[in-house]
Amino acid sequence: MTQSTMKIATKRFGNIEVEEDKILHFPEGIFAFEEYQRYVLISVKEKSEFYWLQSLENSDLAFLVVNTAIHLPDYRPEIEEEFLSVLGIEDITQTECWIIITVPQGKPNEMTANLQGPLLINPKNRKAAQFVSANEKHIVRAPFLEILQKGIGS
Amino acid sequence: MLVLARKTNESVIIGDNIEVMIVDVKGDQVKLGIKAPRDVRVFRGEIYRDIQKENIEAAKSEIPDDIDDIL
Repeated sequence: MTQSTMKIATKRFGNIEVEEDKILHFPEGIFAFEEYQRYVLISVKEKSEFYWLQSLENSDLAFLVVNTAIHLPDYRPEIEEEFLSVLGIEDITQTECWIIITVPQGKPNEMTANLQGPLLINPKNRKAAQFVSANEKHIVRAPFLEILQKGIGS
Repeated sequence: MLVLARKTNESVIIGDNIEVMIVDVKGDQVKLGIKAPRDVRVFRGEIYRDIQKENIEAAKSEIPDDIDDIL
């Protein structure tokens, strides 16, 4: 059985084909971009640690993200379990956790990670949402290279 | 914005299934109790707005081809 794919337009990659079963659904969008609900993860390049979370509805919109299980295994966002219901689950251990990286213009070495607003994905139903971690150490602009080396300290 | 004055233990009901109650007032700090369906998420306003601002900046990110070498 062949994979269902669809073509999408993107600013960074031009027109690309995405597999429909890879499409993520954010029922509440992402903060500040609440109107866009459908995204797909695209690896920056083969074997890259980074991915673009590309909007299917706005070709200009993509977020640079990393998976915390791989890069920040100590990172455990503090989230009210009942808020996980937007993903159709109650158990945070069933989710994939990704954080958004901000790269200051022309200064990739100063890239920061948003630890306060992680993205959680339910891999079983492809639902996703942005959450707020109640842990005060999870700041919105954490120096990414530093925390990769030293950990988060929480 | 609708502005209502409430005393401790009084509440407001929003729509047909959200209730916000004044649980306690101490000085300039007001403790709110919020009853809402499980799928209605509640955020501190300044935190939500901070993350909105950061997301807008993040959406402008451009990266060099050798970004993985930086790690």
